[in-house]
Amino acid sequence: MADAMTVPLPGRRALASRVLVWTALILLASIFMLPFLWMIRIALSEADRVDLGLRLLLDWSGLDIRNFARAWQAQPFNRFFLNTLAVTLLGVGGEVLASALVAYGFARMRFPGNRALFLLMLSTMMLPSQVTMIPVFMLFRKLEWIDTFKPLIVPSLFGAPFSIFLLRQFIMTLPRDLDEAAELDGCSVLGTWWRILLPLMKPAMLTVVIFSFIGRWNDLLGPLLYLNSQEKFTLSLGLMAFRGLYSTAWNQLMAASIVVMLPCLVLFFTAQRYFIQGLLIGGLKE
Amino acid sequence: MTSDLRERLSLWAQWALLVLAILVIGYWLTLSRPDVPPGVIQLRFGNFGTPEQLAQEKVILAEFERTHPHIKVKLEWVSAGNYLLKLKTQIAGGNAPDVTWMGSGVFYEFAAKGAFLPLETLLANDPDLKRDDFYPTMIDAYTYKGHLYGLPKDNTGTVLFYNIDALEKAGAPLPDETWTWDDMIRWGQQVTRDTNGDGRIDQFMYLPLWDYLHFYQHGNPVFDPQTGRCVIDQPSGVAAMQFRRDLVYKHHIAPRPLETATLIASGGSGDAGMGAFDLFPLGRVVCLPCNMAVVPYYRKACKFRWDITKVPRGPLDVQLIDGAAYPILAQTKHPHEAWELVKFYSGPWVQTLRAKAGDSVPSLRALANSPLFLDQPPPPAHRAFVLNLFDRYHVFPQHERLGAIEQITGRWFERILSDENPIDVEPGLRQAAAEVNRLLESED
Repeated sequence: MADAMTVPLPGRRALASRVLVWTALILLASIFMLPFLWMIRIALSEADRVDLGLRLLLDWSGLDIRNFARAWQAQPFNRFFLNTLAVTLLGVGGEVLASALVAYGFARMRFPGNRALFLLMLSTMMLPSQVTMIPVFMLFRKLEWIDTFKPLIVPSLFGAPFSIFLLRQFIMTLPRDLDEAAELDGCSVLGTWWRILLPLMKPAMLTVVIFSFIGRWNDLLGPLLYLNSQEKFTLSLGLMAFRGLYSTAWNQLMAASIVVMLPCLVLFFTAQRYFIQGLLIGGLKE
Repeated sequence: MTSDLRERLSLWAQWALLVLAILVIGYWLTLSRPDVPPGVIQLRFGNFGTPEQLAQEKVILAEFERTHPHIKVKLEWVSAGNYLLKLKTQIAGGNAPDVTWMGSGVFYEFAAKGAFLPLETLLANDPDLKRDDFYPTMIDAYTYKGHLYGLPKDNTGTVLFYNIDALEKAGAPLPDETWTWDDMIRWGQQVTRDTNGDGRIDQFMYLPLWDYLHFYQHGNPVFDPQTGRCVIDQPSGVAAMQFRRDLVYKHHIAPRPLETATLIASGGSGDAGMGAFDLFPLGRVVCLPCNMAVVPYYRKACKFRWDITKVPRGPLDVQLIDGAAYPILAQTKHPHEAWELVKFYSGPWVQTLRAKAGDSVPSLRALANSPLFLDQPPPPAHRAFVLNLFDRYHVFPQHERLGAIEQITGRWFERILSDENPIDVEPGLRQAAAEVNRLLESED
């Protein structure tokens, strides 16, 4: 009979099963890590090395860590970093707040056409960016916003459809009793949103922050089309400059790419719990 | 003041502060700093390249601004792969730069849409530059429906790069301007082999990159000069494509598509288009037809002796030439200043710089025929023959819809040359021509 103080050892079958699962997970993880490992190896290869195939992973001699410094100094990456940080933080901040407000309206306000408007907003996600690229460019040209950061920041102040959808779904899981209690206490509609719901929406908002941050940090098309002056370039444009018409400085490109990728990695690992929570939110029924 | 009023004010104050912060930071970021003194014209110049090329471009523009103090040039520099996308969006959106880079292959596409300013009057009235200063074939390349839209800024030909060490090791002679495809095939079978004993061929004699070349060498243009229709399915076109296919499957001197992908994946950049150029410095391909623009890259990357010569002759002696120009965009508000910039790039100062770089033939004939270009330290050692290319051959093919047409023909050529379930040459070309002609008819 098992003693209350002892923990029964796992049976042989359970142990074998656990070993199998862990082996499979380690194998899968290795496969997924392979491109990243290859990327690191190329980043450390000699400047004039042309043979950069997968076989490079078997040869770790002649590593050159100066590629990171060379790549970063080949262009004004410090400036690009500041530009990207500003565009990303302002864009993310604007998107999160605006999307939260719009989502609150869709989730809590009862008015004719609520559902139709929501579906209309969702349908804009079906439009490929190539379709709207030129009309939007012409709009920004008329506003004289070309070669400024405005096209990359201002649209975020109106929310983003996916973020609005995610946050709406989350708000709908929060009991209406909270709103009613706040209303009874004399809180306005905006006050209820700001004081009561927004603090409770943190997991969903963190998910939006992660998606939005990664999307804006890595955005190439927007900066490519709207920025002309090199001093306004973002990191993604700086990375693309390593690719020439007939040759590419792969070691410098990989080295710079690793550095550019780090903030996204740090953000994801810091907030991954909320990220997974947030992804599940969309699956909840109304 | 009641606590409720204080709370409401506090909430609105928080909101107001937040919005104000965003507006202030945003405004600061978007402040345009006027950097052009009054009386100075600012030109926007669109171009692309690597950081090294950007450094050279800045040297050129510094000299231009020094010699033209009333003009300031704002360089709008992007990477090669994104350049045309950005330019097309700018033109369509009414925000095109004043001057831009344009390759001879895509030139017609833009000229046909009225994107460029005609230059013949500006050139005719110019005291410094004359039409005869340039190769007539390259002037023709930038002439569309009788109007000149670009001054050649450099000329490049497709030449055959060959690996001297590998050829000598295999006991094969070095190719020269007399070589025909029979010579390439004959010696190719000796050079193509498995060098490391793993049972797979890893050194091929030749890598075909320009399929259209074989059509023209068989006397079959891609488009009928009278009707403008695609005629690659004519008997001579079929012979050309069959010859192309035979290089791989009959004579075995060129890799199959799967072998090409494997060669690229086992070394090089892993990108099919750009990785193909890496196969030469990797030693996987002994002879490679390529644009002279890769000379600086091959000088750094190749660890063996190499040189260049003409691409082998087919039934007709036809060679590929191309180049680039800096046209003036029709949307420019400063055509005369833009002309000064274009003229500077095609003029002696810049062309001397280009001649010394060795990656292209100067567009000015006098400089091209000078020791500046001809007597450069090798590699490559043989250069003089390149000048003859521009005297004898024309840029081809050129078409307003060349990009879309190449996608169609490329898809069908891939099926004809495929390792698995290939389509026969004649029906493949017939379907390709039909699809291209349907595209052309839909535009009429």
